[in-house]
Amino acid sequence: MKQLRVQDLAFAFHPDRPVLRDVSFAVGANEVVYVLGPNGCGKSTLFNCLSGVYAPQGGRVLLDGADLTHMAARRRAHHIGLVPQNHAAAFAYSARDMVLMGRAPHLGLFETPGRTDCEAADAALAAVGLSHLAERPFNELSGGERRLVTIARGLAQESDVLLLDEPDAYLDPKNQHLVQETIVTLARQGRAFLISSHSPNNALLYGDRVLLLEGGRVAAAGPPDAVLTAETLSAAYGAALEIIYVSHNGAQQARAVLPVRSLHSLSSPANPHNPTCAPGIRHLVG
Amino acid sequence: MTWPSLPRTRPRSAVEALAALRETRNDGRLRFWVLLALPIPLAVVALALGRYEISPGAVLQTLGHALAGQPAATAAETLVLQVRLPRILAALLIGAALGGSGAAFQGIFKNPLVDSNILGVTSGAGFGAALALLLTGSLPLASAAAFVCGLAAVLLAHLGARAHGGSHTLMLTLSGILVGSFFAALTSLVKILADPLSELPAITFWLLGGLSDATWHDLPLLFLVTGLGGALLFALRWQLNVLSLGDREAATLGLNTRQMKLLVVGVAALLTAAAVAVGGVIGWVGLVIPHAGRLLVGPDHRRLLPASLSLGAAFLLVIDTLARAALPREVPLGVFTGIVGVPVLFALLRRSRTGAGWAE
Repeated sequence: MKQLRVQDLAFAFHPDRPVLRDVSFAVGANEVVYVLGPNGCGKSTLFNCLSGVYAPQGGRVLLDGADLTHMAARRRAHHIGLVPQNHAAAFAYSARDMVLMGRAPHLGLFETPGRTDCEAADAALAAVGLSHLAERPFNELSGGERRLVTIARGLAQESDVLLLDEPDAYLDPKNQHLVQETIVTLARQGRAFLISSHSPNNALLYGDRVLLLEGGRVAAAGPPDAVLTAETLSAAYGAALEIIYVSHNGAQQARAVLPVRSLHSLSSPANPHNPTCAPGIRHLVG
Repeated sequence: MTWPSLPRTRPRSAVEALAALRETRNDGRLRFWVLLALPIPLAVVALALGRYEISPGAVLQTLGHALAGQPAATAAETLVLQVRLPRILAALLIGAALGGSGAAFQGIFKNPLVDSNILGVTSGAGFGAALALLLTGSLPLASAAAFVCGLAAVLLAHLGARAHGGSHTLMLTLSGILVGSFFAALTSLVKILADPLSELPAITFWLLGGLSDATWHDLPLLFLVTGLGGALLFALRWQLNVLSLGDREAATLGLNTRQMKLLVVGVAALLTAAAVAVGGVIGWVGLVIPHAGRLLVGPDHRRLLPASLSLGAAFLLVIDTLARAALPREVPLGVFTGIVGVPVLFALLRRSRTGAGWAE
């Protein structure tokens, strides 16, 4: 069982303006952990520190006791991978060639990808439903398709832990679902995923645990049900948010996070398609 | 009774038909191998061409004799073996060195607009040669000085970038431009100091580039550097793909970007310096060839790098043969590559909208 343990991580671009302070948490194998928090709370910086893009100025990143921050890049890439947020390539590589680059840690300095690597790349492309675009130039794909290709590259890397920086951005509802179902399936096979997102609903639906960042610190951590309450969410985002409980066709209740304004419009008599909804604790901030 | 409707597979336009044909043609594999073999027949043809024409059959016969260890028997054989062959080999090696290092530089700097001169190699080499010509007037010394000063320029550019916070690509580019300008200024100073009747023409002629003085003596070092450097870049061809994603992504994919970049830049600079030392300042090849390669075999460096080596060799051989045999007076190579290179680049840029292998 691989476990990622982050201890007292600290990072700052300028000494007097820390981006991350005393960040500690753990992610076990089989786990899907969502990192939530407002814009600028340090989610991307956290991922960059974990994956070795930035060197943390304090604390440790341990994988089964081995410190990732002092590890050779190639060995580290076996343990931890990153699917970055924005993506463009200088040259118009095909989608398959882009995914193939995820195999870099598995290849020696003078090696080129072989049959197993190509199979892994094709399997990863199939997992995100893009096999039909394998030969298309990456730069001609839509934003969402590029996202899926980069996610496939992360999957092809087959690292113990994969960090995904806002994988749901740019994706339509079907592909959001597809990607997150794939992630949950892979997690159950022994891999770990750390996902930053601006969608608390995705965390509620697919997350095993949630890490709420605020101002570079961990504001709350735990199972989604415990962390994602109207109080903590409203306080973290500085906006009035409400949890609603929806029962669909009499089945068990699902929970969803909504901004208060849409809640008003839902419950107003002017809306004839009013679903059965029972508002939770109303706690308005600001 | 109704007929089953036939599937409509007719392509909508001629362009699509061509694209479909291109895909079915074994993934462009044939074209790739033809491209790699291209310099060989071209070399045989080039050996036959010149003021004194020799048939390609006689050329092959001469080469066969030479390989069998027989000395040149006729004036024609001497001409082929002692005059044309070293020059043609030099053109092939220099073209391969410039094309290959151009592809490597463009990949590393993830910028399709850089060439072998990005880090000041050519300017440094030019200064070295000019200084040696001013002080000694010796051509072999000029070559050696060009080689040393070309590498010194890259080292300066690298140190300058390191002093300003690491191996950042933008810093390295800026540092390279500064070093290049510095050496260009020094070269101008040397030209001012040179005797306008004897030394200045020699310097100017050297700076314009050319292979008319190429002999067997120039080849061992050029062959060694181009062979080893080209082999090393070829071995790293797939890593160039990953490096071209940029430092951050390459690092998360497990590459030691600092070491890799140092290695590739070092090898590419060595190739350029060796080429400039023998052929003088020959522009455009390092810039144009990788673009042509991308149009023909795509942006994947696994194919682009060998294609650039081969295409560079073929291009410079054709240009040098034209300069040598087609015109009544020999035109300096550096001038000719510019005159041919600019229209070629324009033609490529026109095609870039329909997918030249780089992003806008």
